[in-house]
Amino acid sequence: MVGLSVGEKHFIQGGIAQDLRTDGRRRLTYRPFNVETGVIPQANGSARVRLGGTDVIASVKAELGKPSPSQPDKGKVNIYVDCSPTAAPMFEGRGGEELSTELSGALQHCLLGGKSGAGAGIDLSSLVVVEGKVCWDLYIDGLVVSSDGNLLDALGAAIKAALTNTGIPKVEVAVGASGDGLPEVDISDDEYLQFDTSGVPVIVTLTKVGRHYIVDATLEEESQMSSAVSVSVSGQGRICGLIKRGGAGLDPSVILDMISVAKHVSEQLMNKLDSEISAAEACEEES
Amino acid sequence: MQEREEAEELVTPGEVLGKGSQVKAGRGAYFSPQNDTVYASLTGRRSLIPPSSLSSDQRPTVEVTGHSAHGAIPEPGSIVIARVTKVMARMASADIMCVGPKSVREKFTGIIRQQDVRATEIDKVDMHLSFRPGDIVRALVLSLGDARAYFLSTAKNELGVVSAESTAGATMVPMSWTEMQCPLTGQIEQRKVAKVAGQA
Amino acid sequence: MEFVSPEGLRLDGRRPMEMRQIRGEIGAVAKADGSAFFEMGNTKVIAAVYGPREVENRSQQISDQALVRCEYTMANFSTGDRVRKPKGDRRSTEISLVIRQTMEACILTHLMPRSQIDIFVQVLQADGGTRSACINAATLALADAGIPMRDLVTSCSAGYLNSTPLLDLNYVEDSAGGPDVTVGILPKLDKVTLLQMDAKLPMDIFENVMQLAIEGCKAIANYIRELLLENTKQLEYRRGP
Repeated sequence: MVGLSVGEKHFIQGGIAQDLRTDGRRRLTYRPFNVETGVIPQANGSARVRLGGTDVIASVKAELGKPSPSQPDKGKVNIYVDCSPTAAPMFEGRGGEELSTELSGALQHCLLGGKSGAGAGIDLSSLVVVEGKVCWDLYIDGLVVSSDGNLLDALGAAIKAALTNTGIPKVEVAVGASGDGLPEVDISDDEYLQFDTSGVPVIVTLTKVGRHYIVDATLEEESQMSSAVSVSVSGQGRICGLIKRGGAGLDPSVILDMISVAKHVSEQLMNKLDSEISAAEACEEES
Repeated sequence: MQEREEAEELVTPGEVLGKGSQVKAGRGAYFSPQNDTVYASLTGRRSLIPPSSLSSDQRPTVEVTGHSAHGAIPEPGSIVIARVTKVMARMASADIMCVGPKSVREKFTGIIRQQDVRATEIDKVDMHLSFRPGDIVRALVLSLGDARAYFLSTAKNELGVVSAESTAGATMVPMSWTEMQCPLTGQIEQRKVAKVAGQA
Repeated sequence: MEFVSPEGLRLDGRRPMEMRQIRGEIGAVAKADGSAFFEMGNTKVIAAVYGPREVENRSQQISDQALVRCEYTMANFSTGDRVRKPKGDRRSTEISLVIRQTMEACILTHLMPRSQIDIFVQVLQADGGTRSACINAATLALADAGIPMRDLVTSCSAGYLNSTPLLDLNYVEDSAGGPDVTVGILPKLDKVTLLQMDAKLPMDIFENVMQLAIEGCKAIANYIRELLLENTKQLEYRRGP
């Protein structure tokens, strides 16, 4: 890929300084996005989110497992992200692993909270079938199909949409199960439990270019960033996670300012996303 | 020539365009000697180009014009805009940015050799008094050069430096075909300046 | 197990000679030089083509033709059971090789010496016939990238179960252990470029099964051709007069 020339760099930076970016957006405007749910019928839930030139797919698969001994009353959620070489030739072979690991880690931070599971966007205790014995393990897989910047926000949105789309089969525990062995369970084929995803946060990444910061940076704009702060904000306006990337240091007051801006932006994003998800769900039911 | 009326037609790769005895394969088409047939190799519109009256071969050429716009590629004879990256005693290297009015999509490097800087007194050229790294140069592609770079020439009045920054960081104003002046400091620097059309 | 019911219907309700629904879409990846999405029933793949461009690794450069490379990857969620496979396992490597050889045979590589063409195929969902779907997607992506080709390549599989030749096997039929013939053809030149079969078949039945697969390839070729022509018309329309 051709690097940016001096003129192009000036153009991007100057545009951001004047609140008119190269694609005509303002600093705090998202690119138009499009949500499609149920794209992977084999999964329990899935969604594809297209944000400008960025295209990601998230899928949720549920398997019955055993809760960890330290937290018998909670299910387990795992998030993995893969970067497909279709997005950029440099992801070929093991080339995408570094970015995949970074994104997986960031999403785990933003959506799952700490080790104790406190502050998780998903209610982990709702995944338990029999305390200490059987629980649902959720495997959330993200796949980057095409990359044009702001992967984290897009993946966050796709995971939220996929979780909304997810149906977990209802499980009946056979009565009279013995005390120590694994209880027998009966998985229902037609009854599904839906998740309450109103608590799942959205992720807003503010990218600092020059003296200003922007949301939803494209690949070109990201190449000009000095640092980026990703804030995950829940529907109730609570901050669930925070990640800073990039080399340059930030003044603490700037960070606080960025968080409040992110919180404000997240409200609009959340509304937009919710309406897109419900539109996608309605569309899927029709077809 | 008899196929002139149905010349506007969309084809996909592998489609038969004609017999090898009747048409020649141009761009987006290929000739298979086994069965003497010309096939399309791209998706797009096919067109027939009548042979020039001078050539002995009187077969028309069939071409397929694809839709995907590939980046421009420098060819000998084309005028390019390049940015000087390195100036050495005998040559200067430059990155080609535009071919004619089109910008390139990949990186092409070019070399301006000492003897190709100007038309006269070619052995007395001092490269360091002709270009500086960062200068924007208009040049003519002489040849495909070696494996690494195209050979470029600025040996014409309208070729040479079209835009340059002074040490103070301002865009300099051309004074003559060998000098440019910085509007901030008034300092005069030596360049092989291009005479841009419409400029006195 | 009964794969064809007495009424002559298969497990998913198809007739023995019926193909699954196919759907293609050109331009699925914005940044790639050419890309396509291809779907055969529940099998969904995305292909992206980058190039022709400068060879990254100079030692691989070929002085009289283009270097064609291919990588096949399966998404974690593409199979029924979720398995986290390491990249570059034997199956992926083998399929990458098959796709690369098939595509290389139809690209006019001698026109682009000292350059490189990368084909990346990503399986989103696997339900049998991924090889064929990948080749069909790669053909569309190569045509979208404007890379000169001898002909389109299309591929389809056919099998033989319950003494009936079946077109376009799905995963259940594929894993039944019967013979599975994957064919790739150059439809206009009428040549076979890819032929793979596992298990054994009597010669005369093999001929029938292969003929069936070739018919499938031709049907796919017609669809792909229409798709390309439609796409070109759309692009011309958008570009204006």
